[in-house]
Amino acid sequence: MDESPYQLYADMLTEKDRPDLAHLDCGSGKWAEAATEWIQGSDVWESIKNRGTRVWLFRNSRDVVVGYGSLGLTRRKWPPPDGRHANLQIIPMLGLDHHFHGKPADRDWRYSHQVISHLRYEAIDTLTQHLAEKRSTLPLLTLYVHQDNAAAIRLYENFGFVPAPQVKNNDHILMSQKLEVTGP
Amino acid sequence: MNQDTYRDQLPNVRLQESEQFRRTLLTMLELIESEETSYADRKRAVSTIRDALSLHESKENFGIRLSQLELGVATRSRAVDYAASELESQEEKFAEKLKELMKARAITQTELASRVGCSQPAISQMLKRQCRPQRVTILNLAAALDVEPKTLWPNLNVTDILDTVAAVQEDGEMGAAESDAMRRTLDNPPVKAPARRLPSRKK
Repeated sequence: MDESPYQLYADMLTEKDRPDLAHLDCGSGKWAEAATEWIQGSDVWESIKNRGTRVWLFRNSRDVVVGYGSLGLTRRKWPPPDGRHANLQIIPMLGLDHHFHGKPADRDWRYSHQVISHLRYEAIDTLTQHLAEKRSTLPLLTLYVHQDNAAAIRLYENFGFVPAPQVKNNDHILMSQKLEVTGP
Repeated sequence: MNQDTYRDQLPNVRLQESEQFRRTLLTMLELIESEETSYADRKRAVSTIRDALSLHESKENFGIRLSQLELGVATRSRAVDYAASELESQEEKFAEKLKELMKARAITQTELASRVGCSQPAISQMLKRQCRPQRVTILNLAAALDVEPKTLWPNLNVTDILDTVAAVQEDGEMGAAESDAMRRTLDNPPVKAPARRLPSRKK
């Protein structure tokens, strides 16, 4: 794909990025405010420290923070109820600064699409590595989204996530997709 | 927020250039200063001021230019950065407020922990912003300190969502509905949607 002025750059979040996070505002509405609070408060650092979650900060070519995304692992017994523990990849949280919602008009370079595409790549890469290391990891990528957040649900569906409205956790529904293994 | 400092800095950012611009800024400032304004609205107002100032590059370019905005052409003004940093996160406000209430009521961390039913180190971590209180803890703290929960945390809905995000990351048993949904997804072919690693700025 050709270079574009809308190209995003992804780097792992570090302590040095904290000052830049003060400007990030994912917008109004409870889930947007939660997305802001997650990255500005201690939740993100707890997730990194206690769960090994990877968090990327996405910047544009002018070094402005456009948003963030995260990818973590949780463990579930598979097959339930008595199977062995298997890793399950999950996107705990992602957020875009409200200035960049729905931008740019060119869908190929839409910021939200670049973010999800990056997280999908990283999830496939992790799965491929785990399989090579013979680690037990389900070929799935999951997330929970607030049931009223129609725009986010639509976006995730466009990227192949299937909603499971019957699986609810405090008004959040499960969405999952099967990952394609690309490596050996 | 130290309003005087904030107001003092505003004249340095070319308020005189446009009467409309000046009026907008003052309206937003009034919103920020009002006791009635919610945390979210206050944050919105700061954001509006930030946009207006950072994109107000010249007299000809009044207002927000989306093309510039998308490319992040805007530069930050010191005055507005100051205001934004003052309104960082609800968690920071919570820690400040909790400290203030404990001091006013002369309650020690151990005493508060005993009233709330948690450990003293947990209170210490909250005060140092090393962990976020769950919704139920905020409610218990508010009861123990005899204040409204929103005095401690302006938007409890946000903590609900954050609690959920933390819960779904925990290891655990899979319920019947969850395992059925996973099985159905596993029975599907792999998704062919885009997957592209973004380049790094640091490299």
